[in-house]
Amino acid sequence: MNNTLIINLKRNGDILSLAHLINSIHATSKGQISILIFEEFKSVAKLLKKVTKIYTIDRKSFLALKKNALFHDIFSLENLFLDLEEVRTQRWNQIINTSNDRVSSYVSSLLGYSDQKVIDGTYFDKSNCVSFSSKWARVLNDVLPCYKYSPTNHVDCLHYLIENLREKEGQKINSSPQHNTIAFENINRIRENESKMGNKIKIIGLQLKSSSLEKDIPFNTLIQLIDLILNNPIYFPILLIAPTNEEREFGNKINKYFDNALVSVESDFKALPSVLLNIDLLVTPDTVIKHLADLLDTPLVEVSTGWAPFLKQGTLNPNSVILTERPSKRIFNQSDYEDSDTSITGNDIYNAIKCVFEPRLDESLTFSSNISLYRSNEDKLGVYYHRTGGQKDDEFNLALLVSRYITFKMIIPGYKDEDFLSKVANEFKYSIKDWLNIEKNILLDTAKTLLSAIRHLTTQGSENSYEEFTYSLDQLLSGCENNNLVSIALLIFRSYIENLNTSNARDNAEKVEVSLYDLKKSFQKISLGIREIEEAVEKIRKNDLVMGREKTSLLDSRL
Amino acid sequence: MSTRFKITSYEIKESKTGEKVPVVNGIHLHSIYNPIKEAENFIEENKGLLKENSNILVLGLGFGYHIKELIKQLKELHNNQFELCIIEPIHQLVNDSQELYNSFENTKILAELTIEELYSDRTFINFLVTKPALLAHPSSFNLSKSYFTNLLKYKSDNKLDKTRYLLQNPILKNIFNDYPQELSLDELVENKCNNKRSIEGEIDYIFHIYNELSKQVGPKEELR
Repeated sequence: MNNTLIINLKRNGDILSLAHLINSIHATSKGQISILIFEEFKSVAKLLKKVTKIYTIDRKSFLALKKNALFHDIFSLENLFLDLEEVRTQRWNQIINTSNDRVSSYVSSLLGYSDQKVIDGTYFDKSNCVSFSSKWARVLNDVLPCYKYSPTNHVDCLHYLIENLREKEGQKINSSPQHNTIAFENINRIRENESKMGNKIKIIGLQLKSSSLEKDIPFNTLIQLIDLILNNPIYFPILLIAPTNEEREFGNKINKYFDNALVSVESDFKALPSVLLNIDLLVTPDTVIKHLADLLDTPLVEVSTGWAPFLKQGTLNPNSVILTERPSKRIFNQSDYEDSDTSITGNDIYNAIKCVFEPRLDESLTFSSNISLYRSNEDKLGVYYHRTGGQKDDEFNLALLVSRYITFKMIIPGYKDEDFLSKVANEFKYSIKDWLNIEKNILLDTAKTLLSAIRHLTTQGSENSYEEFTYSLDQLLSGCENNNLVSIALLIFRSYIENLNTSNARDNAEKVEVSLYDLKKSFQKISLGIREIEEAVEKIRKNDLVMGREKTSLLDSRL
Repeated sequence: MSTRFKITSYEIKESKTGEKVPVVNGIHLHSIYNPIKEAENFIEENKGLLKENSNILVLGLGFGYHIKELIKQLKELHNNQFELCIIEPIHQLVNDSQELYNSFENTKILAELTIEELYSDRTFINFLVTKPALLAHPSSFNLSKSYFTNLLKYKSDNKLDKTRYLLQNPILKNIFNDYPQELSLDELVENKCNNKRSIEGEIDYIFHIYNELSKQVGPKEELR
């Protein structure tokens, strides 16, 4: 029987997102699937269906023992050893490292050490260098966390990593029958009470807090939103509260504003699925509950704020919407991000709610200036996102779609997608030319720098050529931050350069040369991709011209 | 620091209300008038602390009147979900109050251990890792002030020759026999992770994991 271990040493949201991958592996292999996580996230991991065993590393205890001068360090080492020993002594057919950090990479290597197991994702080889199982592992670890226009959804990228298709059917979350009954009875009571007054209501759950302040929906926005919901007889708000003092106090503060007339539901992770299954819609910032609602097919309005790339782990449910400030103006970089309240208003969120219940309203409802509405859609490559309402943002949407196409073109040999080309050419036939020209110029300049780096590397010997080479290399790597099409190739290239073994200069020079030639191939593929798009646009324009002429002829003949 | 507590005088008196009261080195460990009332007041004064914490480290057992009250209060506040650990340097007190403390629930008493012995005791360490609240029984604390102060100010010695014996796992014990004993664990890990690039065995990966995890800070608690 196939024995798979999935490692994820990140937080609740990432662990919950594994449910998609687990469901897909289960559908194809029918083997046993276990996960390794930090102990502090176990209550969320227990929600994952089809998991045979949850292994944990007790990081809290480790850090308590290690960081406090009272305790002997040897205890922290032994506890860690025992945690790892439990999972190390199992035989694994497949080890998948789904988190991009050094601890998980070392853990993967340890578990694959004895029987030379193949690891999907990142790991350290025996010369202590980071290795990537495929280019998708590089996209997962080095492109998705940095690149503004997430070229793939995180969940899809995990599937590409193990070359598995995403299985949509099948339950992915455990819910407790006892909590299901309680939640159904309580929420149904609200529905029945309201129906006595002749209203068939929609219950709207409001998640009040996230794990970081910059993602939270501001207090005044929530008040405005609740006020609007209360004024609509068919909407009924309930406050969703976690069992923490901080959330209770915040919930009380909001409730006090409405003379304590609001319904609050306090639930831990075990009870939360039952609550989400019984409401009609969830309004939430980008937090773990968003992923849970998605896995339960509960539609949601995600209010996206903060610096994390907003579509990297966006909703996969086409019935849900994401509300954002104009993305091309947002800063998706923690160091440059300046904390300020979002300009998304309660009215914007209220309109987004209406759009979820009536998708035809997306384009007709008015949102504040600079606020856009996004939905997910799906094609043969997986999920992609498109603007369906609010402020238009051609620059962003174009970059989003083309980045995705170029990423696949760089990784999959001979990849070409006529459907995509005609879609992008049709949608952006007037704005695309200028944008492509800018990208082409940047590609051309970067290619010159690349060729200079190759030339100086291959003619090494003089001090001058070494300086020229390092200058060119620095120039190339600085392009990683620019969020252009070439940045995707450069980020992948950087993952090679950053993980060279510094102890062997000759070996390094050879590896750098190989990476530079690989980068050159990627640039050629970007160039080819741009050309394909230009040809598709040309074709559409010619068609338009022919159709225009036909119409003129028809008009002439009629007149 | 490692010497045990010295008793120069020890007697048991009877309070006005009929309870036994130990008097050690001339110090009455409980009220000579009404030890139970005194214990009730002591616990009432600390109710706020007990509301917030279900695990309590108590410094000083005496004859345990305050412990009995404490358990009563914790049961009320946290049902049966609480843990107590009591440190008492005077073994005689533990012996003489056995009748009383035999009925204590969810309680561990660590008596007459040196500070080094305490910080080598896994049960004690595992309890401390849960970050218990600290409750010092005033007269016991005054009686054994230097013992309890040393307990709170302790700094572990991490040299391998001083700590290797604490390892319980035979595989780890064997591995550590081969390393220079004059090094501290951190020095050993630094040597393994910074001065040597290639990996020679599984333990090297474990040292790297240890090293990387040590750099982390715990996450902000998530909401549910």
